[in-house]
Amino acid sequence: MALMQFSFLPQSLGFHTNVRIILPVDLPEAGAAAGRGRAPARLRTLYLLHGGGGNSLDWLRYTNVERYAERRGIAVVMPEVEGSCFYSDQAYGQKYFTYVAEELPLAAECLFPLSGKREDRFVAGLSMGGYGAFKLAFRKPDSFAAAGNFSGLSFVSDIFEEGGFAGDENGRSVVHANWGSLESLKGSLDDTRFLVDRAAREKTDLPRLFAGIGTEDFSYRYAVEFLEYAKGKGIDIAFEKMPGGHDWEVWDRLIDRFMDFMDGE
Amino acid sequence: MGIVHYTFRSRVLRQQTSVVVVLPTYARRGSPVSLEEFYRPGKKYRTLYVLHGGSDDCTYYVRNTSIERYAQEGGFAAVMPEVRLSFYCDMRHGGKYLTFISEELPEVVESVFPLSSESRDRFVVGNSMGSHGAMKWAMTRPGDFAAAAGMSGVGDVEDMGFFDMFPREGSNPVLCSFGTAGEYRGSANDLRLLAKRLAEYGGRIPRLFSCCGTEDPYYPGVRRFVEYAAQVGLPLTFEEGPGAHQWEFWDKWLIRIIDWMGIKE
Repeated sequence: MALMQFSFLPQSLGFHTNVRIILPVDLPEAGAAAGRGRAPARLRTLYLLHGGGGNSLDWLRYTNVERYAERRGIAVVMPEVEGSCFYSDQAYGQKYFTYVAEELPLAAECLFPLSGKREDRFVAGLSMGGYGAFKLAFRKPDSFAAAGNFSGLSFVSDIFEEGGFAGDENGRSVVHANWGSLESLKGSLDDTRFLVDRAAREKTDLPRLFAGIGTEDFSYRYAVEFLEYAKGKGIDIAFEKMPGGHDWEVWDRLIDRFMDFMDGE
Repeated sequence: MGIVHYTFRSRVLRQQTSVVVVLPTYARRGSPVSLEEFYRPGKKYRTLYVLHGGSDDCTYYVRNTSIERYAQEGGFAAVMPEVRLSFYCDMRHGGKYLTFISEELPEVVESVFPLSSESRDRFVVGNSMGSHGAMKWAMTRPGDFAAAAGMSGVGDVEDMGFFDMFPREGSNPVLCSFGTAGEYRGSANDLRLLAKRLAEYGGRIPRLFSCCGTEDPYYPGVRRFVEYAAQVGLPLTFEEGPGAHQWEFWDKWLIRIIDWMGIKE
């Protein structure tokens, strides 16, 4: 694979940011360019999101995503966002949702050989990135064929409630920066419960949904609740659990598994 | 502008290599078009290939000149590969850097980035060892560029004293690149021979530019080559100015060369 670090100033952020992109090259089906080191035109692309506090290097450093992508001949785009922004257009801060959902794909699909067709586009992430991936899938269903949520399946409003695993002082400042208040978050387009309800009500043609988590993950019970709730509303989510915690060993296995899911397995 | 650091496996060199590419990206201020119009698929940019000098790498121009700013003002892309100490040769003892730079590199970058493949949209410039590379590439493949320029080093390699410059041992980059002076003469690297052939070539040739600082130790050799070009009837524009073999000179002359070449949008 070829590795690209792309730095630019997106309008939605107002500062320079980095994106790591890995591209399959030398694919046999590159046609006239076969065996000459060219990327074939318009690659199937996975937008892969990091978790809280992470950056565009995380997936490359801590998993074997490059080898898994190489086997399937897909490009992987790894942006970076502010550590606790929850992929949101922040109340006090920058427009991270607009960046990842709109501006980045627009730029990347113009500048690099990435496909803009729904059937060729996928999104996934871990933890905060898993939440981000599902948010993209529910809010821009026509943009993706499938979405993967690794260890990030929860009702975001629940986790920030008093007693939730992010209901402490730090959590309160995250809520303030992203949404202003918990009340503003509830019922908004960043509220996963609202998104599930809306999709059910409107019978939205959603991307195929996949969720995975380790059984020892501290947020495991939230994932189970979410799945049951979604199922009750008629929304299918393929679910994979495995021994493990909220950690990279689980995410390394899940990203490989998700790439099979992308192929319809 | 966006800046990309792209690492890929060169088939010709049989190793990983990096190239820095600067690409126009959307900036709302001063733009006559919208974000969506700017990032329309199919856009291709005029491209300046920028070739570094001895011991430098793909980051050197970015760090030591304002190439990105010039490219932004001019609305073109710049491609900055790295070739170590090869003098842009298919080395006598070493890798095939001329084949890499003139055949593989453009194929790779033109398939991954939105760069035009039309010769009227392609330009090359280099400093020192890179000026030899730029001229050699343009003279070897006259259909590749609209214009080529070399700063502080367009001259006959033997005449400029390169074969006496380093100790006669295995690490001598001149020896590894060209072989002996005898092996250089009449070879694909012989700049006088290339100039003579190009003067006799019946097809369209690029515009050629050479410049040198008057305090530069290579100044006499560069002047002698200008005279040689005139003798064999090869059109070669020469300009000089105060300055030595340094980045202050190359940064300033980049501006002049970009203007002379007419690359700007």
